[in-house]
Amino acid sequence: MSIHYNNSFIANIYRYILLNIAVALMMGSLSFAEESILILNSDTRVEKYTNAQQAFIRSIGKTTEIFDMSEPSIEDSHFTQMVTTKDPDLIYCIGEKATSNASRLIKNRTKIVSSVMNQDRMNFDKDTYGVDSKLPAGMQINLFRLCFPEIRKIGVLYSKKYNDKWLKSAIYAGRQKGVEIVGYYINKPVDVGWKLKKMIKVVDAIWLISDPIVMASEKRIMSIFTVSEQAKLPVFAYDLIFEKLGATLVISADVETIGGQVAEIALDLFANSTLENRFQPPTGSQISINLKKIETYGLMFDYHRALGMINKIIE
Amino acid sequence: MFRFSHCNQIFTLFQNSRVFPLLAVILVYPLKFAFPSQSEITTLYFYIPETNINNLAILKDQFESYLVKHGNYSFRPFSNQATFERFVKEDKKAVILVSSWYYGKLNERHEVNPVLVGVSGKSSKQKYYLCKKAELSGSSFSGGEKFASASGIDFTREVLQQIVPLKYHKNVALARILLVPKDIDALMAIEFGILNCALTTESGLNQFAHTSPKEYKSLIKLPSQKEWLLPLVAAFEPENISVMALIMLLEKISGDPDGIRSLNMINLDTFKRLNKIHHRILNK
Repeated sequence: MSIHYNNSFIANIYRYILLNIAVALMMGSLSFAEESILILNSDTRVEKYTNAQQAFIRSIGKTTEIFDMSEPSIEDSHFTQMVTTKDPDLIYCIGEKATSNASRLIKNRTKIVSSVMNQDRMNFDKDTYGVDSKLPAGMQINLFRLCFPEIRKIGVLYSKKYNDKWLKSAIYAGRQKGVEIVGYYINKPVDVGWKLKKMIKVVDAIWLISDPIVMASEKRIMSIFTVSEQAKLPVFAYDLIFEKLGATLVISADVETIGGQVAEIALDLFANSTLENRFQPPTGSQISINLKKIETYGLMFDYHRALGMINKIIE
Repeated sequence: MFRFSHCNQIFTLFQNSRVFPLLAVILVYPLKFAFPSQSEITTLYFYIPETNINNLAILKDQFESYLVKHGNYSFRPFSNQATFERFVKEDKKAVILVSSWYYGKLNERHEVNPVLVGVSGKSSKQKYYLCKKAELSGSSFSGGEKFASASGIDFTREVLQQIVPLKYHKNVALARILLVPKDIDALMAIEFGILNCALTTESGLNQFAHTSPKEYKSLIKLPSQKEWLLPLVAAFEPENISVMALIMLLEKISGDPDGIRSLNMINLDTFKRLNKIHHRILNK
């Protein structure tokens, strides 16, 4: 028995096969299309920005494009055009300049920000996610306790305008850990001197926090270190720049871990996972101690328990 | 106490003496050949990939402050396996201080003899712990977990395979791992609600018990069945005189304040000679 096919039937079959191939190719190209990521780096010459960037690239395992924003004269129109042309699925902003420009000029695009010192004081749209650059007060108190188990009362100079909420969280965290945090509020920079003198009489250590009123000038910052030196009181600080001024302990967020955390957020966003919080605190720490100060002030440093955690020692 | 490095000084002393020149030549000159000369540097190479040690510069300063007091020694820490192996391969007199996990991998390719093992407290072994937030169910492992770990990606996955029940093994490859600098950071990631799981050593857990006793008690802690030896001191030519001298120096390191500080930086208290039990653990 033989079967006869007319020409139009064969043509229809042929068309059907071609259509299926085309659909399969389209589906394939869609499923393998990789999300595009644009990194806006405020200044690629700044080590902490570059370290965060490299850690992000290592962790994300996807192709990224980097745009260095250190050029002093990037016009807004040029910047927005560049972003529109690249049309990224996600933008990672590293540092103040990249973050403020992206927040101001780029709307309706998913952004993740990091390495911005006063991130909590900025306004972000609902498409912005991020990792804070400051370790939570409770984490820092944990690390203070591991290094200096005998220190029980720590003084903080702060302004109600910028750090009222933070101080409350620090006092609460301290209470949980058996450390008393004593806050001395500063209304205007000129108050720093006399409040400091009052504070050093009752505390075991001074905790320097980022506060624009307390740190209104280099002179005010220097005076904190001079007075603490005279009183033989250790200063605990949050940034390595205070190391040179004589901070006994500096605890800062580890920028490579921040880059890794940003990659985790990006992977969650690509997978459409629900994020509990749009912003999260950093979770890795870098610790620097000044051994000379520890010896001069006669402080009890727990070498056995804490030395393995230290990243930098000043002797 | 007599030290090998004193041989040259004794030799010089006798050379300067007008009374016993001949005696000096007969008795001491052979020692100059038997023991290494002052100009030869013996190096202790350091590589522990499953610990996120990022303070290599101060580790070098600290170890050398102990070693150079006793002779011509240097300490070279590495963070990259290929570079470490390239250097070590070219120096047959190398003494290495490595993790027991990495030692096993190195020994498959090059014959290295373990001589000393690190001791912390009273133990030379350690277990790892998978820690979970109290609300999570005990031993299940979906693969969707996100871990904080200071132990490197490869080692973390290997340890997780040891801890999670067999039926979940295929899910281990799916788990996402965030590398952090220290064990305490990994545990604080759970305490502060950043991640739900962490992999840590026992010493990390002890630190956490000290800083956060309430959170420590509420953690789910699943220990590994397997125990790993603490870091090992090993050598390609353990019979070489220079190598022996450095190993003896490391054996008595905990008797010196600079030595103790060096060890504390890698969470050890001292070194001791490997015994049969240690060899059995290494060969498992």
